[in-house]
Amino acid sequence: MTMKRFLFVPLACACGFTNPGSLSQTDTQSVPARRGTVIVDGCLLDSLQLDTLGSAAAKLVIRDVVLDCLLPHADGTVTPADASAQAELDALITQVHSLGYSVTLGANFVTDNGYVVDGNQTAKELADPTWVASVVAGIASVASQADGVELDLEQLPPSARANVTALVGAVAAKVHPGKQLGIYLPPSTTSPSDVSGGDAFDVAALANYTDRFRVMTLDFSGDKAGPTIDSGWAVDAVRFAQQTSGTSGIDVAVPLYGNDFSTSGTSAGAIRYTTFLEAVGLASTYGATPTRSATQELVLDYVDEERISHELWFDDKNSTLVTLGAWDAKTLPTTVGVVYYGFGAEDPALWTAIAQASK
Amino acid sequence: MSVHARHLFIFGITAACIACARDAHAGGYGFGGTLWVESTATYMPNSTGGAPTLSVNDIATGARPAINGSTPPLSFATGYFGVRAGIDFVGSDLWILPFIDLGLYGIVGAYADQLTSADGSLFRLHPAGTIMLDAEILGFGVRLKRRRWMFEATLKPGLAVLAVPAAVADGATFTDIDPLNSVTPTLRGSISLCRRLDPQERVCATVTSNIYQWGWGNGGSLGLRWEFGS
Repeated sequence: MTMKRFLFVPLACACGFTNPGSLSQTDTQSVPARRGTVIVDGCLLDSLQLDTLGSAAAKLVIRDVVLDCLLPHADGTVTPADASAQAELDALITQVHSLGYSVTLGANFVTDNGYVVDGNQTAKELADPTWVASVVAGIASVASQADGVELDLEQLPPSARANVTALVGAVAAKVHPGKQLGIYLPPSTTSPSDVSGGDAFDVAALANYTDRFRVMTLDFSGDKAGPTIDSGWAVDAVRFAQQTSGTSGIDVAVPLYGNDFSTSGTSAGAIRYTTFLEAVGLASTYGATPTRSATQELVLDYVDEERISHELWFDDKNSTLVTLGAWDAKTLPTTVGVVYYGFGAEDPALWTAIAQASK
Repeated sequence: MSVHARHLFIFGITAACIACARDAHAGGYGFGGTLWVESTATYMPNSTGGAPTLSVNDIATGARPAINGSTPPLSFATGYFGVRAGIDFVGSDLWILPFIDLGLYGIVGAYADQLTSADGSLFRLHPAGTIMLDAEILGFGVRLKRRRWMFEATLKPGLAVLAVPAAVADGATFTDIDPLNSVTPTLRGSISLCRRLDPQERVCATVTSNIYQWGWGNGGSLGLRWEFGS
């Protein structure tokens, strides 16, 4: 009694099911609706930025505008302080209010030239109660017409931890309850912190004074050419902050700018911020074609007139939608907002795409 | 259960089935059994009724120590072709008690790689390499005979596992990882029309509905089965 034969007859209906396209998306057609904030690097909005804020799509996505323009100086003053600049800033705040947005002013604790971060110098200043009192008064004065204040402290040594909390407490005492107070938080995922300056922030203590933490999940690759953000890394940073942030709100940051890494020549290692439109222009000028990385960010390899090689990483609407789509409501609760950094540098089609994809 | 004991168990079941088959064939109305092998083409629309979500467990990348979560449902239809084999018991030449069957299937067709996410990280799926395994145990059914012809209907509960090759976004590039899996309970209903070839063998055409398989009413299959036994 042996088995004589098997009948394996392929059936005619074993037909193919085709899904065209090289790498199609299964889940990023929609993104959760979240509180949106844009950060503008400076005290001015150009006509393109104002037009964008006036668009219906932007109004659906963006709720708050942060003007990163307050500069505390070594002498304890805060600029812009002159009457003309103050008047112009107040007029801008009124204009943005009229478009339906809240406006907060960000204070950048950098050197007096306005752009170099020197954490050790700032730490020394924070240890001086007279300097702190002067700066707090200055911030409150310049931001009198704004809806809130944001504090941007970077590269601080861990020894500044108590003084950072003291500064935030002093600013909170000055601006609460009429205005909101937010803090830009380094994207730590461990304790001790795995990012420079992270241990200067006692999030549990700061939560007593802070309305919203902005977890600055930007520049993921640091000094090495690579993605500006990794969506999974950003989730870990937000979750880590949530462990001690109490009832304070939390935002995750999304870059709108690109990073142009010089990879050869005398400027090797240099990083230059770029806009989407500049990246597209560079691609056209140098006949280079961007490719998509694993994060879906675009990468443009080009060689400039000086024969210097560049690796330019930048987002377009598709890559940003993929990032936002990866943060489904189960992964990041919809109470977590999104702060878009570098308003004006983005793909012009971004806001319409997010508005259409939001649910 | 040790490997040795497992082999003994399988041997015992098979021997009992063959013995039953002989007995049933001789007597007609006793307790019989059937060994069968089936080639199967199956289809899952993965639409409104439900669709597989793939589990991600403790995947580490350069950016994250552990990714744990699941992907959104696979929203595209899939077709498979494979082989299923099993053992049924037969009571009074009327009742079928499907004891166990196992199936192995490979995806059929052209599928582009898919971008998806889990726990905030991005994954690239390679659906063209998908395989599916299933097992059904302790079902129930009836059959009716008329000369060489037989009609049978069965209802079988079981489990199915989908394995989809995948890679995780790790900085600038994707890194290959073990296939991502999805497990579902299944409930399938089948009807078969069979014709006896000789005293011990029968060939059947089978239509199966996936009553539940990652969702209600998620497709079904067609099969051609060879049976040995009562």
